[in-house]
Amino acid sequence: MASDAGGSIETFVALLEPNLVGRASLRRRLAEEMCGHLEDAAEHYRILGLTPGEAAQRAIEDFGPPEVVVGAWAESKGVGVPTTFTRYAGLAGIVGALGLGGSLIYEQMSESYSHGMFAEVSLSFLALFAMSLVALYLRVRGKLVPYGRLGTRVAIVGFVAVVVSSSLWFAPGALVGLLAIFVGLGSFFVGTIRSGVVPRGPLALGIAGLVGAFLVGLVGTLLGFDSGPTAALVGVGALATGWAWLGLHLWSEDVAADTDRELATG
Amino acid sequence: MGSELIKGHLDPLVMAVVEQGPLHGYAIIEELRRRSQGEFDLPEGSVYPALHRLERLGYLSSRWDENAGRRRRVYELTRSGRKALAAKRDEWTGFRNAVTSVLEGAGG
Repeated sequence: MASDAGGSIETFVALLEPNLVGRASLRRRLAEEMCGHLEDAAEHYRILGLTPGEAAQRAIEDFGPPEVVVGAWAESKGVGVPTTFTRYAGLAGIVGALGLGGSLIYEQMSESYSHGMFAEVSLSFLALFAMSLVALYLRVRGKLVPYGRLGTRVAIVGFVAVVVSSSLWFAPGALVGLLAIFVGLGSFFVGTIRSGVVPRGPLALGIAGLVGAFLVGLVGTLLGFDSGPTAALVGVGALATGWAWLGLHLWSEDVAADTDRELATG
Repeated sequence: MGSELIKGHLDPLVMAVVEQGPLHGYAIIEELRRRSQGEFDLPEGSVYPALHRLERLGYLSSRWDENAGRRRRVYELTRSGRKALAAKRDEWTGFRNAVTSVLEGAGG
């Protein structure tokens, strides 16, 4: 019986630990602390006459539902709540999205504006875009479903693959990287929509842009014509519009009471 | 008392409990419950984020303590934690007096 009780506590903590935000060493420390806490609480109930199994169950109930503990932990680290960073990153996202969209349209219209110039100008807007992507991730992290988190990692790996492959002039690597970015961002966006933390419209538009760009590109490849510019216009256009909308949402959110700052200045 | 109501005041409450000496998480909860005569009934797991936040701010320090084969993380109030707690107490006293004045219609 005693081992059953210990087992249920360990199972509870093992389920909780992977969902905690932070470094692995910190998560391990917190898991050990929680385990100790639950053992003490279970012992208290055993002394009161409960069986080991019942005592462990009561201790777990008193500890609170996993989502409450995970949410409180994430909030304490500025994750899952609007912060000054998420607000300003939202603003950066608006500038990045509009700049990227505008730059692409100008590139299509202007004779003197080359692909190279577009790529250079886009880099700075992409940096702002990436900043808002990080903010969105932090904002939804606590409520992101597992495939959403996996998608984020896949997109990051894809991005690294594109950068490395491009610098080595290795086209297949860059292609695989791009595919990973598409798939990864797609999963992240779907996961973000399901989290219900931010409005669905902007993300749905972003997904439509990614899917649209992929389909237009695919049709062009299959039929043997250059559909790249159209695919880029469809993809970037929809994504930029959705992103500017999302940026506006992040920017307009009220910053949650920052206990760290309150106490530090209080 | 609702856990949402306590949440906003949890940090100074935890610091006040730890002020008496080093304590581990479970003992902190027990003491919070005892001092509030059972009024503060919040999910016990929500105390750990507060403990780690206060440690990050330098208001608490912690170390592993081994007793009878059990390893527990114990928390202690630091010098800057004492100062922050004193400031919070002053702030709370002012706030409580102001609320009392308003609710009881003093000076009206």
